Amino acid sequence: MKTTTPGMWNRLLGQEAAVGVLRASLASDRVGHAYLFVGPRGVGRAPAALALAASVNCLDDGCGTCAICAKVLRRSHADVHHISAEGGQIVVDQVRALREEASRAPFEGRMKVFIIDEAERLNPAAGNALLKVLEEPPSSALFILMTDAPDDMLPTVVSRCRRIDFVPLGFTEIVEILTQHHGVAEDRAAWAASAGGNLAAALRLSKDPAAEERRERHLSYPERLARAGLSSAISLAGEVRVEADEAVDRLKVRQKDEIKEHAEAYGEARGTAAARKRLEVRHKREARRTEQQTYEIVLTDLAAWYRGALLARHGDGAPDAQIEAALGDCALSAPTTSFVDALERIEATRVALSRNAQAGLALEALFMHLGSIG
Amino acid sequence: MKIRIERDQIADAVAWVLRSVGSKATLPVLGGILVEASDGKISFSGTDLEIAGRAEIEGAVEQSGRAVLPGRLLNDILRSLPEGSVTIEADAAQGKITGGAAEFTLRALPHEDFPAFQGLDAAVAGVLDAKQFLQAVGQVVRAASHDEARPILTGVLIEIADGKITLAATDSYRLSVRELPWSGPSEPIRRVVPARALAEAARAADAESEVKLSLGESQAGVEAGGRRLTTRLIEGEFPNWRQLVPEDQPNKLTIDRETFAESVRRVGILAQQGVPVRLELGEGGVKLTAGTQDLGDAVEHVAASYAGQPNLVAFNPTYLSEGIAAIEGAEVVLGVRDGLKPAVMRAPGDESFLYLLMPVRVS
Ligand SMILES: [Zn+2]
Repeated sequence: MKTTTPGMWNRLLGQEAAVGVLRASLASDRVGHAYLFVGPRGVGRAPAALALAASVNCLDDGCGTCAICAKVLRRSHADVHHISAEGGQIVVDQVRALREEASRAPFEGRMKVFIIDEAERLNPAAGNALLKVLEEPPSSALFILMTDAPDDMLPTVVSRCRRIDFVPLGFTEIVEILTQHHGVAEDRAAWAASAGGNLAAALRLSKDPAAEERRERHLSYPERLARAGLSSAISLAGEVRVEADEAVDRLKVRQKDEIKEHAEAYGEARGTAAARKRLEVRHKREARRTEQQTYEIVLTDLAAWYRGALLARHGDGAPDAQIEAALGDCALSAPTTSFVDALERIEATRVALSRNAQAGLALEALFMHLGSIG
Repeated sequence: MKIRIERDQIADAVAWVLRSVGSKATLPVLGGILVEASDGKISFSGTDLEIAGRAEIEGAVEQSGRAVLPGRLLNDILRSLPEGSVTIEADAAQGKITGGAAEFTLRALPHEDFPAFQGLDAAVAGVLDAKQFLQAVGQVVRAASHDEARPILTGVLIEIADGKITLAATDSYRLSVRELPWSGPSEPIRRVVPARALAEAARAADAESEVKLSLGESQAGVEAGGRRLTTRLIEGEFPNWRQLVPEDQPNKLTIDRETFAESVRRVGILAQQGVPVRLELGEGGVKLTAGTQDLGDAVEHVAASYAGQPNLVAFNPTYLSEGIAAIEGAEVVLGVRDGLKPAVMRAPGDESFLYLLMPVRVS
């Protein structure tokens, strides 16, 4: 094995065990036909899948810089296929297309790689069709299934795959990766780690300059609520809705480009309707996720403020500078039991929103409660 | 990149390449046509990842380079331009198309994303008579399977050995095999080409007199008149078809091809939904029958010469018809052993083509 880590692999942090197994198979030229990457979203499964896809095609072990690796990273390599749910499920037609593709010799590379995201969403027909392919895998095909719920998959499919576990990255690990490998300041890394919840999202947040401004605004909510009371609850809830809408709008600008690019390239030709439909379904899911994430961040920031207020009052440790600056009269004078209560309410709202509760109502209810503090 | 070409030439080339440009593909760059220019040669390429089309034409290369332009738009624009010369000037960001007083500017697609087909430089290649090749492909592709559950059978096996090239296809109910003389390198090779793509490639060479067939490790190409279709091979083991073909058939019916075809078609009207056509072979010819209790019966005698023991065999009427249609010449020889063993059809005295057909078991 080479002593230096090839470029595609050194981007993977905190997953030494998984990376070790995969690189050892590569080094001994014993890459399996099918892998199951198990672990939560955002811990490095997708980058590891890309690294593996690049390594079996790159002429230099997945160097990360050659034209082949670059194509894999841009997701435009003709032999690296990405399969994900269409409207909630991975359906049998998708697996049939995969089966045909898998039977063909590689187009431009050495191996065809099929990366299946959220493999637990394979419906039974699709799972059985995939099982048949995995039972007699074509010689130059590699299947990488990713899931956070292997128990929801057909056991027969699971047993055909080599399982690679990706460990959940805790707060401390994410902060460490952000500060040591991405040059993010400690405070900011801590915030991004808790607001993002996973490495991928934390990385995105820590590199978004507007995120800091938004955080400052979120941190001002508790004092504003305490000063203006119930009257400001509705308007602040509205403000959060607007923020979510704006995030979705920014996403839609990017999506529109994608649609335009697609239309320019393919026009209205026969057969494009299905591809357009797939794009729409994916865009809707992205929009939903973006909206969710905005709420998630707002709630994280709010919780950080109340925790900061508790810290300041009990005097056992200091909150980060941005939080400290946002602590005012309410933080200094309201009963600390109400802060604990607030934290519980915030957590309950987070759970409700993740279960598709009506965002407007849930936020108004939360802000009314927070407005009664102080 | 800057090139100048006659409109008719470029419009023809682009329209032809556009047929290979996919619409199902998810990669936007695949909706584009790659234009490459160097050393006085200008080429256009498109692909849907199954088939790739490449047309090369001559024109003035003022500046060499490459760019990917949206295929359908480019085609529409070229067709709308007045006759005369067309200029295309393009870089990574955009392409400018000028013809007469009209000027179009198109956003270019990222050319570094355009898939690099491995190429056929190292392929085994030889030249074939275009008409013969088209005929041979037409004879075998219909026996290929449409069932993607066994992808290997959706292909045509191409074998080169002993100065011959052999095309074979089977859907496991019938087998179609055609041999042609081969003048290319003679080391034996076996490749499986998707039947659909092979049929398309053979048709594309229709107007030419010769085609160049190239068989690479992962791709096959058919090239004629500056246009080349490349297709990916199917991986896997093609069944050993030779062991399916019986050594000799003790019973042989020699029959007028047209008459036989028409009779099968007529009687076949009552052989629907899995009902076979029965052939009672005996001295003086064949009696064809079909029918069910619900529908009724059809009977027809066809006079023909028959050598052997009286026999009853039954076939799927479509497979039988397609076999008769694939035979070249005025007569068909149908060889059978009995009602259970495969039957073989050929043209009398012609060893270059055979159509093997599994009988349907009847009581
Ligand atoms: Zn590389």
